[in-house]
Amino acid sequence: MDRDLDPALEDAARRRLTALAAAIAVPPATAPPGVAGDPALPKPRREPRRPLLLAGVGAVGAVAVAAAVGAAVLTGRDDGDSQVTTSPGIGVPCDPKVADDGIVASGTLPDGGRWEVQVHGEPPLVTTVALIDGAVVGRTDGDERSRAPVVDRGYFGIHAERTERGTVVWGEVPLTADHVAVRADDETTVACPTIVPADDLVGYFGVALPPGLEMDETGIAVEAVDLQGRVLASGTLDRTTLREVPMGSHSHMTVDPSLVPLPLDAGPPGLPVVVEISTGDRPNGRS
Amino acid sequence: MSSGATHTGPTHGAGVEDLFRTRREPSIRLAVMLVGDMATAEEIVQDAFLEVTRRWDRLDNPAGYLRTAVVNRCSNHRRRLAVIRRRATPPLPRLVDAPELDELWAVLARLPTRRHAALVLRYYEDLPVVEIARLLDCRPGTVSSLLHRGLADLRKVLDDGS
Repeated sequence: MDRDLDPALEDAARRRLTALAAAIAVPPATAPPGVAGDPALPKPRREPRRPLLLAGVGAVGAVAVAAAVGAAVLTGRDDGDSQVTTSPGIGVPCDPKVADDGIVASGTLPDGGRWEVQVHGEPPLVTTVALIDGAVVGRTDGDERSRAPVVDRGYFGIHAERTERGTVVWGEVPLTADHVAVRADDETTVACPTIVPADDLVGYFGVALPPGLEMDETGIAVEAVDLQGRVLASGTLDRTTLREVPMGSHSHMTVDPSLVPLPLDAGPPGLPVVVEISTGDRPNGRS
Repeated sequence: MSSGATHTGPTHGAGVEDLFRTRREPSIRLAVMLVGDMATAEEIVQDAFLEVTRRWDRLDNPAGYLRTAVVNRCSNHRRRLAVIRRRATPPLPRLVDAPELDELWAVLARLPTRRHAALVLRYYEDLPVVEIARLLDCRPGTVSSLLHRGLADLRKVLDDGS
């Protein structure tokens, strides 16, 4: 399966990467971690839990946002759910989150049921699933043809499934987005985007809206917003489709190309080089 | 590079100490190659060792598990870092005093996470494609594709250094 790789280039890569690794000066060890009897050993770090700005607003994460005054509220349960409601541009920014298990968002519905949005597979064969109490209520299956518009033109898919228990909204989002604002009937729910390990180019989000929302004429508006409050991408899920089509509603956000460079796979901005390198003749420890 | 230690398991503490002695430095070196930051690499390896320690009695191959834990943590760290960098104005790179290595490092650091990891695991760790696929949770064909694109990305700096 390596037959197309250039052996000379591979050899050069081996030599240079080995030289690079050899130049890394590893500081001496003190003691192995976790061995009993050493109270000085560091304890495992834990991710700080997001502080609740306002709890108990409702079991479902859809509450009115006083956008004009910038009131910030948080809904959902403090069990790692990604659903946060806040006013765009202020408040607590979303922390970058990686979904190792494929669960990009989850929460509790007003009736106590659990909703989830999961993402599985690797591009372009990415499957997104919306579930309520473990039962699939909506699903999308990606392929080359559906991936290309996302990568090349910035058409990020957004989807909604309306049930008697609530409406699950999910979709794709630019990686540069800080949060996703989902608005229905003047109520705005904000979700934090989540990265899935297999996808380097696209983030994902999910929220649940309470049942009984009368979609206004614009349906459900979805915006991906960056830390500066700029709208990177926006789109609308049609009201009529949501009300009348049992298969759910599917649409897409379109990006502002001045804020989201296209194509998405043109390459990320450079990471800082913060490695400590010594240039002596240290052995690299390899045989 | 061979994964080295195996699970002999006479005692929990002795086994952990042996693994730590033989695998700590290579693990940190690998982590630095993947995340580019010594302090983060040390934390990652420390966390990975702690996880190995907690699961020791259930592991058939602690060294293999350690490497998987290190690679997974490095991948997640780089993804988080990439998102943070994308959201904020990227800081200027801190250059190192080794031009030929610095250029290679700069190119490597700009690669997408999985492409970067595939190159390091294949050409530094000397892992087979199948094992890399397992570590990166993808198909072997995807690894080959990542290597192909990664080598193309590195071609100029590799050619210049030959």
